[in-house]
Amino acid sequence: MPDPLVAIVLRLYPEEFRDRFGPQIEADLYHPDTNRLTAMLDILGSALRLRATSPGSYIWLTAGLLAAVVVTFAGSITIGSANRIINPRLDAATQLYALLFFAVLLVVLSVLLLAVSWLQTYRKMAAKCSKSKT
Amino acid sequence: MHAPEEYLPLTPAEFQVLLALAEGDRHGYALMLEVRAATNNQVRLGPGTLYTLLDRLLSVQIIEESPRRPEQNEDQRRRYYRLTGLGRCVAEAEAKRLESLLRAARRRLSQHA
Repeated sequence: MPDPLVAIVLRLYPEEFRDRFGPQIEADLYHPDTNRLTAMLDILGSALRLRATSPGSYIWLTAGLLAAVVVTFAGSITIGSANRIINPRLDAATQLYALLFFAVLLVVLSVLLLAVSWLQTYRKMAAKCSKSKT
Repeated sequence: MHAPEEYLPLTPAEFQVLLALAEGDRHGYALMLEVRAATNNQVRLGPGTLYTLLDRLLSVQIIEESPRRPEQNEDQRRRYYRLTGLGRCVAEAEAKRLESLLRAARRRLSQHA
């Protein structure tokens, strides 16, 4: 049984892929010689790549997430440069608000991801039920 | 069935996986270790990258799942893979392609030495 973090990361894979390779990935991940952190980052990256190139609503979600990452990265570089040039004095409250903003953004994106995942599962279950009735 | 040349060029990771499977049936973890050792740590495959690669090779029938099952002392979740006839031809075609590239590169370098 995978620990909760591994279970969440594996859930990022498309269902068909997860059913086929999930147990094998777990077996490799829990091997004593495996560097767990590197392996988890690799799994995360490959899951996002797979989602981004597989059909379905996840394409848009992954594209949105990647865009958010790119914007955050580019934004932080721009803000960092501006900070060095202008050198403003930011008080503790402003810094706290900025941190809170990013935290809320992350939570909203995570909830969105989970909601799409649940909706997809629900839709598949509903489709299976209607097939079995007919 | 497609001609082996239609699957070329392979990525270094794909080629190394095919070479490892040409020596016999392997499970995912053994493939990771073997590719790393064969390339002096130049090609390192994590589990995510490896299984997406295997999925792609399985979908075009270059490799297939082997009926071999893990030994008693091994993790029972592992699955073994093997080359198909097409897979062996693709690996040979890629080796030939790389060989001709290398020959051409050596010739050009020696001309301007």
